Amino acid sequence: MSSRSKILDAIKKNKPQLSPLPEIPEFDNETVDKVAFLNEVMSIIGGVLEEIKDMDVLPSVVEAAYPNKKIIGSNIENFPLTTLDVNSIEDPHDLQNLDLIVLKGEFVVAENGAVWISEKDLVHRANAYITQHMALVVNREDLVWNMHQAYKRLELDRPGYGVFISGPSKTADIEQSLVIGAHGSRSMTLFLVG
Amino acid sequence: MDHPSAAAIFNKDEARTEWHDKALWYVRSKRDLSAKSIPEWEQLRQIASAIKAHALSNLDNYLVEFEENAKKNGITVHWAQDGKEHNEIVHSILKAKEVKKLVKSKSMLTEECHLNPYLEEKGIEVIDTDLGERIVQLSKEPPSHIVMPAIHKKKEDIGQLFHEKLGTEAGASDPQYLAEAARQHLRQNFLTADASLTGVNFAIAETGGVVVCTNEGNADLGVSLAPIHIASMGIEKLIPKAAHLGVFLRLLARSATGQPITSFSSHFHGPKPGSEMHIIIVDNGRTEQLGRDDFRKSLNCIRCGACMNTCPVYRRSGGHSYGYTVPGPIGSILSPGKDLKKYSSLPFASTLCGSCSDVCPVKIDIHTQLYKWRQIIAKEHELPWSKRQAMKVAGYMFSHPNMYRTAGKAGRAMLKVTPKTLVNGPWNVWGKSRDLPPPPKESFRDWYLKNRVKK
Repeated sequence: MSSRSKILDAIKKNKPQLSPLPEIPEFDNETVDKVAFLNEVMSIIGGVLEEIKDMDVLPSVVEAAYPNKKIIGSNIENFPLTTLDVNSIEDPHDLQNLDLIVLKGEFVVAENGAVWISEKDLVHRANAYITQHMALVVNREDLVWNMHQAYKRLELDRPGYGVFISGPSKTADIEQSLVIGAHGSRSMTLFLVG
Repeated sequence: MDHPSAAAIFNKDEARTEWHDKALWYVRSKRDLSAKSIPEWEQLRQIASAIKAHALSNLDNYLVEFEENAKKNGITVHWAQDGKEHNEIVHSILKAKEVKKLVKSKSMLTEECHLNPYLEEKGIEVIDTDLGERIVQLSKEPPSHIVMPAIHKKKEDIGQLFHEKLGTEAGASDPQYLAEAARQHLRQNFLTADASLTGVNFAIAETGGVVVCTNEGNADLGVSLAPIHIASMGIEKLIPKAAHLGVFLRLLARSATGQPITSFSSHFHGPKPGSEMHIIIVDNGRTEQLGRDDFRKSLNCIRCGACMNTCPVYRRSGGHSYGYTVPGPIGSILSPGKDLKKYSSLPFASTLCGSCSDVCPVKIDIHTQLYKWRQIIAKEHELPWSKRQAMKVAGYMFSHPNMYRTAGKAGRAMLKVTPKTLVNGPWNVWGKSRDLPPPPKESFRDWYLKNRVKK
């Protein structure tokens, strides 16, 4: 008998009586100022929130936030600061010198600052991790309150990949001291557009 | 070694014990602040617990559904009954592609299976990439905490270790500097690895994918570069639907470190183009635990570590004193099911204060289960001789009220005149770091008869 059947048989024999699956309320919060809340959360998670009025100003605000970055990639079509066309890269190892990645995300969750990006928007999965710095761009109308609402609207790439990114890469493994920039992004700015 | 003996070694350094205690309490306090900021926190715990109970009650069907959907996503699914089989599967995947270097993100399951030494023996270099895990790997120790593997180490220890192994400056102990050195060292390994292995936080039956949560981004950096991704998961990681992640991701990081969510919550539903992805579903004693009515709920665990951070015994004895892969309260209810004799002292490494159950995001009745394991251990004659005799004497005493009263009277009289050195002799374990309060003049019974019983 295969291990698969042995495990499944053991579960059949040992599992308890079927218990009901609970309903999950949406837990919406209609009174909260979501942008103000997000702003506070961003500082807790080690990121920065910048509100901008439209996409036209994006290049200048990115340049101001990240001056003197040499190798810049983006998933935004014809983004003027781009110096490395990530679409032309085949082997993700060739992204290793990326200084800054500018990524348009699908939506952001106010309660925890998490931006959802799926594989098609990442171009390469490695883009989000191998870069030294990261700028995320989300439309103001794509701001939801909590994770329940987030899962209601997201569509998982199947097959594929998607990730909630909440702030830069960080660690507190040495005496609980927070260090920003563990393996991936050393900083993260979220630009909220509109 | 049993828990009291191992804890005694840890306690020899009083200053360090106190530091360890405070470091963990700090994390517990952050958890409290985070939990209290959510009005529906208790409701979320209830829902999470019910989802897990439901998933366990239908686990065979969910596993089949998961496998089917994972295959549709282009993932190869393997099944392993125990640690040995798991390790052999990992090795066969790596061998087929002549892998020389494997980068790993945190996985308590592979610790449980002792994967690293197994692969190293086969000539494969294994690099743990979570900073804490890398620290304990370099110092040839197991993790002492499931979320903060190197929480028992001071920055000076890590500075010395990195000086020896990574060539950092002698005497340097600044966390920023040390973390940067680790970043450079690990990045080279990420770029040269032939395969990556991750644990699994949640597996979704409905979609056939797995979710991995990290703050460092190490799991993703490994997976997104190397051409092979192996994800190892225990059967209990399964949840029915993606929507359930909304509940668990709100609870996990808040319970673990007080963060609103981890930096990266990655949803893997297949390999990246040109790569392969494998999932190994592991039993290793879990189906047995599923059959134990009193202990089944321990399989709810989402490995947040909150029970460790709050436990007064864990905080003052350190993770290594437990001698089991998962230390602390949750480990003490998981381990006896694996080997009752070997881990018979662990359910006693608790004051039964119940704080672990109070902070558990999936409402495992940890302290009740600790108590139940104690009863089984006593019945199976796995108590140490001294404890057995003490229980016998106490049992006799409590069933003979007259003798109990006489002994109490004698004790009160004796304590007044006996010198402290004698009271706190080596036989009095309780008195090792405590003093008895002054003996009362009379017993509660005497007081009650005098003041409350109408004459």
